[in-house]
Amino acid sequence: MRFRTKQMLVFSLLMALICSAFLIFSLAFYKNSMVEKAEYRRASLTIHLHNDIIDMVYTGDVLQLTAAIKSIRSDVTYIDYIFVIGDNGHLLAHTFDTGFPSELFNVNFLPAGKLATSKLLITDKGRVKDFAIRTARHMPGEIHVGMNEEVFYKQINDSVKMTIIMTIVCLAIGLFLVYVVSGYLSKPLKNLSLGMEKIENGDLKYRLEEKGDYEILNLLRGYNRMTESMLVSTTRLQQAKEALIESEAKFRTLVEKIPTITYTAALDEYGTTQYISPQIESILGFTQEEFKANNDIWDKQLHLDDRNRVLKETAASHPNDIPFVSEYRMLKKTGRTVWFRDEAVVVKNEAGEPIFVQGMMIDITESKQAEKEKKKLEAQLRQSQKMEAVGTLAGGVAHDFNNLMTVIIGNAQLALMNVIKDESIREGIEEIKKAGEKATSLTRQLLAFSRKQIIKPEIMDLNIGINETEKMLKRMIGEDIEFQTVLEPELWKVYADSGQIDQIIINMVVNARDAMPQGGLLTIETANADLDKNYFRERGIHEEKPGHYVMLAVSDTGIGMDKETREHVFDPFFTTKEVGKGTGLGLSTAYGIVKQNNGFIWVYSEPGKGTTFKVYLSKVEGDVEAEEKERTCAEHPGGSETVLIVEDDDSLRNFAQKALRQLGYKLLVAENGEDALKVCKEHDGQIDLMITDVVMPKMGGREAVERLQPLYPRMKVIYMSGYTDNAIVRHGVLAPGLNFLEKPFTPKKLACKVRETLDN
Amino acid sequence: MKVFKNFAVVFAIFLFFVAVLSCEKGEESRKVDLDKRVSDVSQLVKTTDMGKSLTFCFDRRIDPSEEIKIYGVFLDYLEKETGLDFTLLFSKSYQEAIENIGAGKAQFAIMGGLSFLKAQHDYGVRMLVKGLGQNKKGDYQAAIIVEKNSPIKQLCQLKGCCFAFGSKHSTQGYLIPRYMLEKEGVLLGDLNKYFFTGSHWNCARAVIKGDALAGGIQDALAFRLEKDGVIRIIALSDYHPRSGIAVNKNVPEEIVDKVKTALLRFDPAGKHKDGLINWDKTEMLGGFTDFKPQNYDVLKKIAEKYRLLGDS
Repeated sequence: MRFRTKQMLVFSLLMALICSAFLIFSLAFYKNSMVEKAEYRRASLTIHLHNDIIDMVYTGDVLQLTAAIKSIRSDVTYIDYIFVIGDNGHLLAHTFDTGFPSELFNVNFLPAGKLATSKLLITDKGRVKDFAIRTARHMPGEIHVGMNEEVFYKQINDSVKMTIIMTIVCLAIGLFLVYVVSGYLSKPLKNLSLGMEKIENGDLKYRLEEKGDYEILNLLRGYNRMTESMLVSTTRLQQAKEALIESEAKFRTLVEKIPTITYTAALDEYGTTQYISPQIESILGFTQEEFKANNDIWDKQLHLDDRNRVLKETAASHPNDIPFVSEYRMLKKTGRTVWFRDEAVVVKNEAGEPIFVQGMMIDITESKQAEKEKKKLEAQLRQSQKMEAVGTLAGGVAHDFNNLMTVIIGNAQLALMNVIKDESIREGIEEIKKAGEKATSLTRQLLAFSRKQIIKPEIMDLNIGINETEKMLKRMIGEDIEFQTVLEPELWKVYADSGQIDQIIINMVVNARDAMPQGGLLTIETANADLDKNYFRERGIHEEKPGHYVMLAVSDTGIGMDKETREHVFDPFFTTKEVGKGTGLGLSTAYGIVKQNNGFIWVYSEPGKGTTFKVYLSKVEGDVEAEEKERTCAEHPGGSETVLIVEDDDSLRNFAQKALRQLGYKLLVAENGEDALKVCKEHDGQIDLMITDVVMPKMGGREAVERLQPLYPRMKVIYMSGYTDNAIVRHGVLAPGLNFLEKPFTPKKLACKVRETLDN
Repeated sequence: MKVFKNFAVVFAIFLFFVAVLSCEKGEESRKVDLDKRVSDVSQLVKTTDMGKSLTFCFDRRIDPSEEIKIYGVFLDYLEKETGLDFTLLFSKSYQEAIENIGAGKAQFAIMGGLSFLKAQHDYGVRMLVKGLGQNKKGDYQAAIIVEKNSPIKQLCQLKGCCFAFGSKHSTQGYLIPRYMLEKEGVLLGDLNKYFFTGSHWNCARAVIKGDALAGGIQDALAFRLEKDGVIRIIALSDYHPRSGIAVNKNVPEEIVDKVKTALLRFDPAGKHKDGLINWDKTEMLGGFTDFKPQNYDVLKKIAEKYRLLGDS
């Protein structure tokens, strides 16, 4: 209950009690007093009446007596009647006009010994009190006076009513004043209460107006001082709290957000967990409650290979107050492995007694995997560097080698073009040509493996390539091996060099053949494939390229490969065959080709269960391009155009010159780009075609073309090279729009290419 | 809301008190029809329980209201002394008093000598006790008075005058004054006129007013009036026995004894003085003494001489 309310209630009660008491006493005493006075007046009246008429009563003057009492009655308004009874008990006189009310005569009995008595009568005039008085002591005579109570007490009753009304009014006024005064008196307390509410609600800046009486003023001042002090303290406390919260939040974030399990454990024999951070669930899969409820979980989840070591390390460190640091594996609830680096220390109390162990289990699974991956990458890098070195070597060798082969094969072909009747000479030249072609093939493989081969990709259908080479492949694998194809009818297209695809197929088929010396089943399969991220992750390929792929698979039912063999199968020069039976470059070449075409190649094999090589090449949209491979060329394609040959190799330059002269072309020759400029300067007339090597001393072919093209706008260009070069090749792919003649080339190839270029 | 509730409670308590106070004490009442009237009121007789009390009668000497006060107090004494209830019976005249006590309407009566002798003669009434004067004397005198300035100095001068007597039955107001006149040679026939006033006071008033040249009254009144200077006593009689208290012959002896004892113990000048009102206006100023029948022999002879005892 509010103070003001209580105050008002108390004062109201007091007022009500006082008013009630006043009313009670005033009514009691006042009324009694008035009644006494009235009674006294009535008694006096009666006595006077008695005294006035008593002589008349005993003189027997009835007429005078009657007149006297009537006179008295008329003078006094509240006297309704008077009658006198004589000593003989008979009515002597009365004031009634006509007759006497018989019921009135004996209604008020005056006992002997009593001088007076009264009786309340209910008459038609209201309440009338009949007062009976003895005419004299010891005398039977009576005087009866009927006094109308209502008339007689009217004044008293009116006074009483007025008193009551005034009391009620006073009470109401008093209550109102109590309300007002209590409000005034309680205002300081109310303000103080308001101030306290403000404090409770945190508003410490609220100040009370300092005014009032001495005590109140002191109270208000005290409140303001207290509030000020509280504000200062609270501010400091708040700041400290905020700092603490911030610190706690930071720490909590640190503890609960970092991918580390923080723990506190008892130093009992069970190492009872006292606290384990929430990361236990995200990392190991156990809830905090589970882990705390079961002390065995940590033990049980330790990897078998690490358990003994870790337990020994734990036993050696905690009891001896040695910081515990260990890396070990644990099994998640799902069974998967996670690596932890666990670092813990023993916490001591102020007395230096160890009380618990506190530590962190850092999830180092990724770093471990990264480490593993790093090692793998390092190995790959080494491999790649090795292959790069080999490739560079191969490229370098191939360039010169191709030139030599061009000369050899070209001259052999020229020689064969001229009829040689001696068969032995012809056979010899044929052998020279074959050897040269084999050497060229070898060079090509070498370049392909090292990714130095220039590729000319086109939109192609693998199924067409497979169908076209099927006959050749069957001849290659022999009759002991059954050959089958499972080709996807709606196979997507790929963008690749057809020659290279042939190479891949041939190399994988050769490998499969070699894996089935006793015969078996060889299957070539094509299919459309959607590779998602998981596919790459599962194979440890970080370079994820999910999407649509065309799969080319070659499977055999041969001897299979073990793990070590699988890991090295794509290494260059790696072979399981006898010396001289394999170069070790076939699969590495295939690998190189696939990578050059931005594809993927995997091997699936188990010892005794055959092997499957799968190649994935990106799907491409579009139609299959016209096969330039099988483009026919005139038997002796010739012309009369002017052709500029730029080649730094003398033999090759002479060969080309020779081959084209025979076909009727007018020729200009130069040793390099700079020389070509001189030659052109000295030449009058048009130059229709420029056949140039790419890499030349002083000025390369590309630059020479750029210098000459403006002079001869209609001049066409053929680049010849057996070697990838940034001048004309981007990532091993010939720049679009360039004519290219791969070395080594035959005279026919040269002639066809020249004719084709001039005709386009 | 709670505040209003509390206020309501307070106000209800207050109203309760008011209501309580406003209620008058229930007084027994009776319904009376004042319109139901009778014209013949003689049939109405007051119910009273005074029938068992002893009635004390006295004849009127002074104002009735005065005498009622005087004897009312006296009866209080008697009631207290005897334990009996007494009722006062006021007699308008000596004759009525004689009849009241004779008939038994009153059991006791204050009577003068002549009235007693009459009552004794007619009804066998006995005198119980004799009154005593102020000096404890049991006798009194009658006085013949004149107006203070009257030339009459002797009784013999009253021949041919108008003379006022008190009551016809009064000893001091008639019997003795007549005897005094006779002794001085003035007979009733010698008077010009004589009349009875009914009481000593009336007689005194008649003399003072001049309705009579002289009158015969009791000595106490005469002495007082003379002292007041309104009259002059011209003659005093011999001493005769005072008035006394007579008793009806039928009153039981034990009651008579009780009353007599109380009367004899009555000391109006002494220990009972404070409770009395104007007792000095009575003839028993000094209380009462035992009565001897021979006390009234002289008066009896005089009364017989005047044939007053046989008169009715």
